[in-house]
Amino acid sequence: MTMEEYGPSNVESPRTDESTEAIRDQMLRLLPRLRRFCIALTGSTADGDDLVQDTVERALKNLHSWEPGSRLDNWLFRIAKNRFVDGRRAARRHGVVAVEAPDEAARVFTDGERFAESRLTLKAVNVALGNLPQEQREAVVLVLIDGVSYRDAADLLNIPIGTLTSRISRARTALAAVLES
Amino acid sequence: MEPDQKVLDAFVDGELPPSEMERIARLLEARPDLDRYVQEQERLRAALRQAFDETLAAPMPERLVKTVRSVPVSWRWRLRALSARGFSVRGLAQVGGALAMGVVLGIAIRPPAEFGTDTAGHLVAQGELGKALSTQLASTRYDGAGPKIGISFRNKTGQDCRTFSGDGSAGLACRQDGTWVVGILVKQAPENPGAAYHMAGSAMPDAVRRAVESSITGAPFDAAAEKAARDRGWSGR
Repeated sequence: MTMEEYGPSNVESPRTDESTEAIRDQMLRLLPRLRRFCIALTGSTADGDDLVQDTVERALKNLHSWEPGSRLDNWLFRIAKNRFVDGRRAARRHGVVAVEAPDEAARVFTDGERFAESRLTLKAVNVALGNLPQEQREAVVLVLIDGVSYRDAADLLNIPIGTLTSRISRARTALAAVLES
Repeated sequence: MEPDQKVLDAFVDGELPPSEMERIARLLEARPDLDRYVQEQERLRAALRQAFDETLAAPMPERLVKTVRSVPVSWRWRLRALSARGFSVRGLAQVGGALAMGVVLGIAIRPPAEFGTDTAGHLVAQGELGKALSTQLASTRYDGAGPKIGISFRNKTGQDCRTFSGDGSAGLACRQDGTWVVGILVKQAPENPGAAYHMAGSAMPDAVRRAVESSITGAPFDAAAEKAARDRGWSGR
């Protein structure tokens, strides 16, 4: 058979894949929330931005493991949280420990006002969050700061809802005590 | 029933069923002590969120935007998107089944090192295959090592295209913006399992053959046209 015998029809070479571009757009829209989550988790803007970058790179390189139709935000948050936990484990293995600032924890307001009457600074909140146990911090950041529902947060952290609400309640008590002092 | 702290927290977070939300709201009117706790927690929640307002509204660092825009997606995702697209593109519908099957088998066996994605998200040939597509002439004797080029032709959009085979797969790539964009990639059972690369032109898989049939314009390149196309850098028309 010669090629001249082949009948005309159309095959286009694949152009830029629309579904991938749509996901990049969706990720861009989610970036502010993801960034807030990462900064709150790490306690600093610089570390938070590094975590965002690491998360996005990992997500795109493993995009096949995201199920189309499922929540992209929850998937990204889960990756960020896991990367953060892995990073801390690795740091501990190498003898690096996070330096907390207990002295600052008590100085969340320069004017000594109660948080009820004043606007908390980002630094103050980061210090207060940094003093929470890791699992309480994750729960607080998701539910109280990002406004994720209990169900989604529990799913994202892979814990029962009862465990989540217990962590949030303990964290609330601790945060209120620190931020009011 | 006296609500415990978790119930009051859930009230603050709006996580109680409507009837329970209503019950607690009524209870708070009669219980200043509980109401004080709820108000305190509402302020805490608002203050925590407020502390991040500037973060949320701040311009996004350029490096993060660039990361989202430019990091190549996984090749598994790219192949999945490619095969999904195959079903929707005119003319590819009839080969979609074979293509999808080939792609799935290809993924399951091992990642093709000869493929990558460019910044626009195309699946592109690289490494040995990319080199063979750019330099190998079908008219010269094939020594049995590495990818084998089949036929070369001009497609309807004016691109130079070439079929290839090797390492258990076969496909069709067309030259676009200096790269070989792979339009069809199928898994192929090797004729000789001992040989990593092996395919005679006659063994072109049906899906590839149909893709050629439907995209070619004119006749396949003869030896002179193939050489001329190579010397022009496969620039098409």
